[in-house]
Amino acid sequence: MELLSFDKYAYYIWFSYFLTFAIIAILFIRTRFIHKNVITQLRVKYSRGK
Amino acid sequence: MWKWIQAFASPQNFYRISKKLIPWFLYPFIALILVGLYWALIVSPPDYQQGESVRIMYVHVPAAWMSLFIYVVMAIAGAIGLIWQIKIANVVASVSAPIGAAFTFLALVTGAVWGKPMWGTWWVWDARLTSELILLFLYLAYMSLNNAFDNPKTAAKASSVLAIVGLVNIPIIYYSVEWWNSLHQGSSVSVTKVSMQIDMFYALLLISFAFKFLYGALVLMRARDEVLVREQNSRWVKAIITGGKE
Repeated sequence: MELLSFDKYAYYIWFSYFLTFAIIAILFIRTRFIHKNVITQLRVKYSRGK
Repeated sequence: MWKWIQAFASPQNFYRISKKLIPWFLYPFIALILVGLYWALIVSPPDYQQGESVRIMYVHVPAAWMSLFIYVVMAIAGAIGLIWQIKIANVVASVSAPIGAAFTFLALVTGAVWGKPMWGTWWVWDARLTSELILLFLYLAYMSLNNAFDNPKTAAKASSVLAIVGLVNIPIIYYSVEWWNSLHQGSSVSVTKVSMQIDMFYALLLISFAFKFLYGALVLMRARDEVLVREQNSRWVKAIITGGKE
């Protein structure tokens, strides 16, 4: 783990990579959330129209 | 080619074909990001001036490139939607904006995190940083304008005009380090030359391509949902939803 200690810059580096993956995760979670929402709303709409 | 574009651009065909395309973007993204991380954090050496902090560059620079790339895609898609009235172009433009805003935010924050140990400050009102911040505001303005209208056609027209006008900021960002005295360093990578150690360049390239594939996957996933909403009165959408084939 000495390999990944990154000297005095460790906090800056790990924060940058953490933020990058947090943003990627948020983008995927939000996409999934939108998808579920759209499908639910359309199902409700079509079931009302029956 | 034009026939293929027209066929793909029909919402129904786009919905069908895009489902098959998503894994072609998603799996390369996962592979490239894993190899890229290995190269960025383990293989590439510390910089002779910046030391280990250069590793922040491997996420900062690709994020900044993506912020410009997505904006250009968004403006071109907006222009295609305006000129040729292609529905999918408007959908691509509108779903690209939040992804572009996320990359711009990432570029600004990782830049600030790198700036603190290197420049001694989180932020300076330098031409490159300020123009990148303006890009974030342009994305936010585009998203607000796009959501301000009930009619998607009117929303697409207004927001596309804003995206096209905002294109003027792209060369300003790119050339800001040459046009003005800037604390921000000039580019180390251009089409004709690479002035960095080869493992550093590979790390940058791998993560940059990973982000491109990520953008492709996210745009396709989000565009599919947007198409369903916009075409909700069509029979094919009803058949998909009621048949549970989404």
